[in-house]
Amino acid sequence: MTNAFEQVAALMAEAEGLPDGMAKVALIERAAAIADSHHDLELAFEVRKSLLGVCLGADRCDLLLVTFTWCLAQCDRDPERFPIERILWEFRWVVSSLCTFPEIPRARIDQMRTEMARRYQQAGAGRRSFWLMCRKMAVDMGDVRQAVAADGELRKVPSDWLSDGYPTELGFEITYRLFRNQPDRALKAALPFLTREVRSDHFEGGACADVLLPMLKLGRTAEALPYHRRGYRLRGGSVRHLDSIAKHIAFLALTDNLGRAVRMFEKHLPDALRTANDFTRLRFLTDSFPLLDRLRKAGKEAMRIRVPPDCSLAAAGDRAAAGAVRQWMAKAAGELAAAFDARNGNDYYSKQLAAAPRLQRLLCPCPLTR
Amino acid sequence: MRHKFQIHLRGIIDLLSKHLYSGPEVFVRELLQNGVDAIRARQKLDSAFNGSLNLELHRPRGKPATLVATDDGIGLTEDEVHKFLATIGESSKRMAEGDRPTDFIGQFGVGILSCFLVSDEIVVISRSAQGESPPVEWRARPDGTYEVRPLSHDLLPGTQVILTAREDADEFFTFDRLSELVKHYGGMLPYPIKVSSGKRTEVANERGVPWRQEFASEKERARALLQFGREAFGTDFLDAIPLRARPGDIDGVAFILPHEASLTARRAHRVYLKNMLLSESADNLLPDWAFFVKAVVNANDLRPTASRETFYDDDKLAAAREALGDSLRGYLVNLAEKRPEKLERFIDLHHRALKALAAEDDEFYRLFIDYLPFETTHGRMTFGDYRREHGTVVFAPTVDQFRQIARVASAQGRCVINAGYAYDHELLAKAPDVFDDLAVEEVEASEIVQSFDDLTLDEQEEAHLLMTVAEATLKPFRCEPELKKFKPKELPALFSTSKDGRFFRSLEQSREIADPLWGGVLDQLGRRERRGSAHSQLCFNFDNGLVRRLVGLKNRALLRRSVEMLYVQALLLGHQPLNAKEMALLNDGLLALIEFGVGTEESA
Repeated sequence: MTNAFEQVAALMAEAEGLPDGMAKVALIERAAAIADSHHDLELAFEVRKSLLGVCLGADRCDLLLVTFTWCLAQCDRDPERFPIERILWEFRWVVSSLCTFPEIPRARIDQMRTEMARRYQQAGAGRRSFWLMCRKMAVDMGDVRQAVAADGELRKVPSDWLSDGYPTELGFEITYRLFRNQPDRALKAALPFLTREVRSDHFEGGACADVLLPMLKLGRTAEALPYHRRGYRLRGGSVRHLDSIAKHIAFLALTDNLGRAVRMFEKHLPDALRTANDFTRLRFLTDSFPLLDRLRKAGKEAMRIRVPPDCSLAAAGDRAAAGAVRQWMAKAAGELAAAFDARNGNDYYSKQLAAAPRLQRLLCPCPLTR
Repeated sequence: MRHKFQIHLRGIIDLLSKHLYSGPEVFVRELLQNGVDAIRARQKLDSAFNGSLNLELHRPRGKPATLVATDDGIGLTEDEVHKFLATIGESSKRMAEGDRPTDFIGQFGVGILSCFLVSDEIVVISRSAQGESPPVEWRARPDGTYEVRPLSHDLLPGTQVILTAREDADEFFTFDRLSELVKHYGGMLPYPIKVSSGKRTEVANERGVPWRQEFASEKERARALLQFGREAFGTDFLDAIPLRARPGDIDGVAFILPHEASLTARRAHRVYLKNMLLSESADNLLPDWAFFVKAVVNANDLRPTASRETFYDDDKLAAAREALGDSLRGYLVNLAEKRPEKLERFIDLHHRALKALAAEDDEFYRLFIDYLPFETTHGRMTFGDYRREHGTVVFAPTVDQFRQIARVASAQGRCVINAGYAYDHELLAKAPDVFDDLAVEEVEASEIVQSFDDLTLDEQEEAHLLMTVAEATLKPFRCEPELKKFKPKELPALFSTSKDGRFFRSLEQSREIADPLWGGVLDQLGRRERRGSAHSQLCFNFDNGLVRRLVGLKNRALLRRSVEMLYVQALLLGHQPLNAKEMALLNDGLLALIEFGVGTEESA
């Protein structure tokens, strides 16, 4: 039998060749367990540290939180061997991901934000990434007042060694402007990604998805087509980006590319149902709603849509009528929205869901050419 | 009052060399590009004109080498020299994507500055083919100064660029290196490019590229393509696929990698624009699933991005990508129909790429799913073989689940597919769409346990003590005991856990060492309704001889120890790494066994 290091190295090498997803997480989890069973703490730490990024990429916020807690405990137990600086960067991912669990109360989230500020301050870092994170969390929790306040603070503090890079800040700026219903400013923030003046596949993919509906609203549909194409290529293969994918589905539906929209919906619905992340599921269901509304308006409620066989909808085989899918989605998304709203103390997501049918007025047929 | 920026040319050249150019050798590309553009411009005036390029090296003893690059293109007038050679920014490299002018005049400019990377002086002698303007000489230095003067003697239309090698750039002024660079950048150009130095002369692009040549047979063509691949990339590729696409006006070749390609490896294809090398690392020309090829292609009608690393992602590129994808698909279909032995080799190396494509493309799925290999409890087999033997596709969703059930499923004659690898899950889920009578069923280890035979009431009564002790022993490990009858009889117990169960093992591990704040968060996470109290199950096999003997045992301490050891053994058989608590169990158990053995010996 080979030693722990060799076994772990082999698993990590295998994981390296895979895209972020369930298979990759499983391999690294296994590597961590092997390091544990050999009591090789250093190796276990390294493996878990690399698991953090993969968890983020595979949209496994639950495992991200669990794994990070283990790493942080090691840093606290033996700060010389495991200096906290090794995981401070990942800290922000963990804290911001807390919003995605409706069962974690808001008070607890506030406590964790304070914890982040304390740890960053102890490490001698400034507050820029803290406020950026606070703004993002406020956006995720539908809290306009808090988002605006965090935005104000963010603009007062300079960058430092632990703050995010320009692409990240710009990427979050797009989300913030969309949240504030400022499509012009969102487009302006997205422009450097769209022109590739700022290079980041991750945020470029997000920007391409984010600008689709604003462009539709501004009557710039034809201009948006290349962004749909480019954005879906950049994010279509990732379970982490189901929210972006849903924006592409909505865009296709509202440009009357229904065949393509249905195929895309069928392709990604299984991931949306399987994900352990309720927040991702909520956003996928809410944002792809325009497709189901569109099918109804087009008199295609009886159309059979492929759904995962293990889903409650698939009464007969693996297909369900579009009308039934719509009803089911309204219920599932409604329940999730209610759970998040209850935790957040507002009605942001329920309102978003209720507003979905109004998007039909943006309909602007624009066929995608081959 | 308005002021003008002062431009420091040397600084700009340094910037360009650090950020725009990959290395000093790009001056060859820029010389060729300018020459080709000039010839094309002249062809617009006279469609019958055939241009040529000439790169002549002089290496006088004791003096720096010089290069004279000559084209017989459209040439420049004195006004044009002032405007385009000496005005930085007049050229179009900084324009928005797609706005780059396609005429010659707009493109001369920044490119020529790259010559300062190898020479401290650039001399351009040009005679315009338009009108009667006299030949003109432009002489520029990197300090930003230049002189222009009309020449008194007449010349044929065209342009000469004369460079004198800087000491640190002499390597680029040798015949072999220059010839290599000309082939690299301009090997596809349709105009002869003569390179000469002393007595050595060659037309660097004389051979052209093999996919544009006629061959007596397919075999010969394949050989020539593979030879080209070997020379270009130093690799013996598995095969070569000619590529052609009407959108973008593309031709080229895709080489099949002779080794398995990683799904995450960055795609980097060599692309030419109008036969001039554009980039070695274009990543968006082929479909994402085509990660098993390395391509060399020329596009006459695609727009380069501003960074000139790849093509602008517009409708035309999307159409071109689709057409190139069709070429690759066509090749694979042809393999399946006509060259099954080659397909087998291909699948051996690149089945993951085929799976990626099949997951995306229903038509391809129909054609290829039967050829694709899957790991099963009966060994590796193709999907075709599997479905012909089994009416239902049964699969375990993760590698972990598969490992837990492999041995038992195999003993029971059940053939289960491991769907834990990339794309497998998606592919299996699509099967009922294609095969009418085929059902697909996902199994977890805990479900397999439920399908085992139950005990009779009497047998249950008999095993009561074992189960009571097992329940108490396993509780701290969040494991539930179960007693059933199953094959293989040799297996005393089967450990199974679900995905949630595994997650909970991790959660508790972190919870044990977390501080109260973080521990509190984990507790809230752990309260999710869907997670039960037990994370795993240990199913004892009533048909196993050892378990039968345990059923008859009345000594609780011995029973407890036996359960612990069976638990650890089942974990190991299920390929579950042991945590610290479980490792301690194993150590204690082994010591107890030794003590027991020693005690027996002593009492004897």
